[in-house]
Amino acid sequence: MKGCLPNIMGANASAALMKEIGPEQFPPNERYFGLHNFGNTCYCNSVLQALFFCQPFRDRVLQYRTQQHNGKHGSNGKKDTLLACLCELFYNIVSQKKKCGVLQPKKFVARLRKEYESFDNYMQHDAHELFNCLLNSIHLVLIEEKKAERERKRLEMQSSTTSQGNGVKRERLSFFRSKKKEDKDIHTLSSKVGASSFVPSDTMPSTSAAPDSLEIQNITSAGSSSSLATSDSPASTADTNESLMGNGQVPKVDQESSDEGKPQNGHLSTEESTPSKTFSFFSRNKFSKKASSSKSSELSSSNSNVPHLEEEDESEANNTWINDIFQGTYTTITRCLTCETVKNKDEDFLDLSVDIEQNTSITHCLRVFSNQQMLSGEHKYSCEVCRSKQEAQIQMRIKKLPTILALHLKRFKYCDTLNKYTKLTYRVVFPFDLRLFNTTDDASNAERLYDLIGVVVHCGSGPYRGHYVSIVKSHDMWLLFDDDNVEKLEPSGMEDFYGVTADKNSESGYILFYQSRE
Amino acid sequence: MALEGASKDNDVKVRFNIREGIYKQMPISEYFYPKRVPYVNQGPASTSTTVKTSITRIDDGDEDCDRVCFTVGRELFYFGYKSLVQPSQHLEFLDKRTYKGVQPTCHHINKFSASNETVKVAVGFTAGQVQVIDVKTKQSLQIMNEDRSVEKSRVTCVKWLPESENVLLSAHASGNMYTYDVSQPSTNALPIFHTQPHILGEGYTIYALKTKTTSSSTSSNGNGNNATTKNPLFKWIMATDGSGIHTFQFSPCGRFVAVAMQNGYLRVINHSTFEMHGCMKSYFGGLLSCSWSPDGRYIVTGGEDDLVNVWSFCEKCVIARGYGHRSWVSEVSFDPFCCFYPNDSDMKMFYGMPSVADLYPKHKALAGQDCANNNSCENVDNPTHSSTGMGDFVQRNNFSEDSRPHCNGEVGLMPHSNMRRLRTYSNVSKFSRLSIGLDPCSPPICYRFGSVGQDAHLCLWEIDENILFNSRKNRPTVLTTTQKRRPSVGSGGDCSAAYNSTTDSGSEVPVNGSSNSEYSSNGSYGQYHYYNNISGGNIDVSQLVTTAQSSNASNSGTSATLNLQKDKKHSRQNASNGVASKFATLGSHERKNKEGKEHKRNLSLPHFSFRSTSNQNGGASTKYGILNKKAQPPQLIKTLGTTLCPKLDETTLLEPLVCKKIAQSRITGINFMEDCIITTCQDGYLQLWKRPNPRATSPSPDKPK
Repeated sequence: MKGCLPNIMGANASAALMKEIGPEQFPPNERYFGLHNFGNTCYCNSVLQALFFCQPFRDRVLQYRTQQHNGKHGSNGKKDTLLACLCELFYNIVSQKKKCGVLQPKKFVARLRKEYESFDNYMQHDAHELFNCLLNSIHLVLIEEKKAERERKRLEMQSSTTSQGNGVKRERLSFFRSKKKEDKDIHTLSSKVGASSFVPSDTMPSTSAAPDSLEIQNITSAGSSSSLATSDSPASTADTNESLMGNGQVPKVDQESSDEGKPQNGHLSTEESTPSKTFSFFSRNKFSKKASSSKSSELSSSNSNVPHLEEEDESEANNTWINDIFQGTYTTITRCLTCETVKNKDEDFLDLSVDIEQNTSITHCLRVFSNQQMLSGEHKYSCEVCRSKQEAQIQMRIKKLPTILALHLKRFKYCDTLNKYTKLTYRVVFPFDLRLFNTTDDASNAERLYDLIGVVVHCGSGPYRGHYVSIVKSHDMWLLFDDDNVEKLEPSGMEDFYGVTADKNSESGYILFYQSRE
Repeated sequence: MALEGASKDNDVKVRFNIREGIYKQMPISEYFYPKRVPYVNQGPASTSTTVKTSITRIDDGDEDCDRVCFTVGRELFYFGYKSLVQPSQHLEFLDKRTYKGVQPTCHHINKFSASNETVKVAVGFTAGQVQVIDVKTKQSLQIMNEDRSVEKSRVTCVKWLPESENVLLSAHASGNMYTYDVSQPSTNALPIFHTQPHILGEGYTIYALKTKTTSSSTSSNGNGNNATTKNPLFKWIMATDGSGIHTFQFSPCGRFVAVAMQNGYLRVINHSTFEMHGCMKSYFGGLLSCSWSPDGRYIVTGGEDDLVNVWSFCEKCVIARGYGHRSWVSEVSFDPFCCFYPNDSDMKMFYGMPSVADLYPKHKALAGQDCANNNSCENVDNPTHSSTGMGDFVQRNNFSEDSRPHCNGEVGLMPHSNMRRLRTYSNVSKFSRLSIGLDPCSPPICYRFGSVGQDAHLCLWEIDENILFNSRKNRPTVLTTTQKRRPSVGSGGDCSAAYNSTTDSGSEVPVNGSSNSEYSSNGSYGQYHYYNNISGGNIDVSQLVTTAQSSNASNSGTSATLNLQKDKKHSRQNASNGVASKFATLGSHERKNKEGKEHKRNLSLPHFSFRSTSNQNGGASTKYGILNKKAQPPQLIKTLGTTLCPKLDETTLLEPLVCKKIAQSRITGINFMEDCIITTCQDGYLQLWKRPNPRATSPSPDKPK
């Protein structure tokens, strides 16, 4: 764990930083605090700093915290999530009186170790893995809360209505709106109040009204339900619309209406369809969505009044601000060389893990990432049309560019001969602004311009020995965060972090964060 | 992982094949790099300097000879090119220096003043100083900015002004450039510039030195020395966002300087009048290098987007981009020995392409009205500097009849030219010329340029009339088969599409450059596009002549009356742009000459809009106040899709003729000599690639795609 010994940034260092920046140039509402290293937690500190200076992310976290404190999300059991700890940490930083100093992210690290066993030791870890885990964790917490919120509202509405018709309506609503299964909390909650739970379409709601009767019983209930329309929750709006459907329009549960074309938000494929792409050891795309969004298929697309809102609500349920900020979509285009069928498959991503080569630029690495490859020999493609394994061409193109583009350079490769993971210290240059070349023709924002806002740098010779630091951009100034230490960096100094060819101990950019300019 | 269309070659090549034959790496003088170990920088990468080579042909009493100046680490070497290519002999260094404390970053040999007794070389350093050494007498003649009071950031490029004995230009990482007159003694006095800018340009500002000082403004440094300084003559602030300059190049005619910047902009500026002729933006990232074609019609740039761009001086737009490198393009250079193009009149007749001289005829009126101090910019005063452009230039550069790479009046010839080959070339291209509506008898055009990159690759490229003029009409998006990215392109000139979009975007630009708007945001760059619009949407090649001439009429009329009448409104602007006229009016309104000096308030050029925005502080005193340290990122959204920066599918995409890995570490320089190509490697050594002997190999008639 060389290099992980913490340095204490005392008053002197703070003063030095202030002087370096200049008291007048110091951005008024900004705080630059180093994070103490508890032995091996530089992997964590570096990612935290990079994310803290990712303004959209920081804003959302602080906003969440504010909402938390205003009791919007309910306060039971929410204080001990990783997200909550992150909120406290960020809030702690921004509410410091001093402008510089050091903080100890004790709670966060403790919670991290509790939640993810693999981090619960003093070994060196992979910053990228932490990045994935953190986003995953936040996303799930937010999803849970959304569910709980909807359930809570549903119950509210249920209890506030008195007429039977409404009850029926409620049931039907819950019938339609059931999506997540195996959700303990929800079930628990539902059983408490005796209402039908959010269950899959094939199970019937448990209330007295005959579930088979899908007719709308009472239009007059629309009046009372419309009062709920004032609520800003999308759930209630949908309620209203549904009730306004009128007679005879029986909403069908159309099982066939699949979610083709519907983006599967927050979903990272756990398997790569291109076997030739190597996996990075640590990142396993942990971000698997347990709750399948295919449940949205229950929504009737023949339901003309409701569908849009209902569907939105469905996809909303799976969508969090993590998706909004980091998620993009790429299309895998497979072309069978025998029957010439082209198949497109969309997948979402929160970051891109790119292979690297010596003396290249990140632009080139991204091109290679998207390059056309052949599936042949052992890796032949199972063509549905040909119903056999055929040779195919496959390429990947980005369909939707995210707001924050996180690029993970695959610097740790498994070396067969040495039987362990080694670090590739290739020199990979990255510019301060970036456009992507590997977008689909119909990508809406293909020419998006990105600005570099942060870099997580790995220093050292291997994945098990090394140190992480972060470089961030704050108010047009570049800063280097090395655990406790914070230094100002000249833009020309970025050259130090491209990686040095011969030097095993080189500092090399590992995760690049680009923010879109629009 | 099988990559289609590319061979995964990790081997370093020592030869490569091209249409005219095989280039082979030559052994070079054995004792070239005395230590014989690769140069490794001590310390972090950001403190290292790029290994640089500059080669100039001078007349210093020996036979006409190419001299090489080469810096690596702390050392500078000066030697004759001929001694480099004699492998069995010691390399004779004519001068050699080792520096302490600072490292040399760039250099330039003064061709004009070279003589038996003295050869001046300007050297720039990491700490911002510029030293002038005499390699004949081995003396250090002068050091500008010795105490760093003028500028603290490193010198990224230094060059002598064309045809100047004493004036040089130095560019810095801060985005500033300085014009120095080394004949003036250097003092330690702090230079004070006029508050009001000498020239307020589109994206840049020029300040002139205050030479007459009042007692209150006389600087007195610690020595109690009250002497004012005569240097630098001018301070050029090329960017407000602190974006540095990577390099600049003077045009072959000597009038213009093209400045390549970290913010992705290439600005082509007339360095005596300080007017900007045109501007270009990279697709993304900074521009690291630029090079003028031998006739001055095209500039090729290389940048951090791994691309090379070909920019047309006359049309002021990017006409082609090239993808071949796997990393940043460190240097680009035209190969003047492999450029074929007709003389000026044929160029105009067949292709409608004016020459630089046509666009900017020299007028004697200019000669007198120079810079503020009237004693620099000698090139303008120089009586031998005629206005016919290339022919004179060639002669002045002492190219001998056989070896001159290009000449007026006939198609450029290679030293061992083969007329048979030329005819073959023209036959093959006849059909393609027909297809784009050109006269089949029009003479062939072929420009060759080379690029080297941080990927340790060398690429050679070629552009011919198909590319140069087709891009206006038919718009093939790609010339390659492996990169079909955006297949569909609208018909009609992309340039015109670009122009149209220019109009559109321009119309959104607030006329007043509202007081809140940051200087560099939509206002300026958006405005600029109008003035670029030479052809105003014309796509027909044959019409280009007329359009060019008509706009020339307007432009040249302007330049003729350039700086004489400060109240002259630019009546001439691109007629199609009503909005442009608004800018023009705005400009002239702004252009109140507060100091009563008449000259150099470049009023009239239509592509010269003035910033009318105030910075955040507002107020009259800061009306021109630009020196806002805070970076204001320009609204680049507006530049994409315009002539400044066409979209990827709006220009032709080139593929290199040759793309080979030639070293293990990044290549930093490329120079074309008559008999070989020289590449400079960051490891600290040079490579020589001998040109093929045409008699030995039979020329193949393939045309590049």
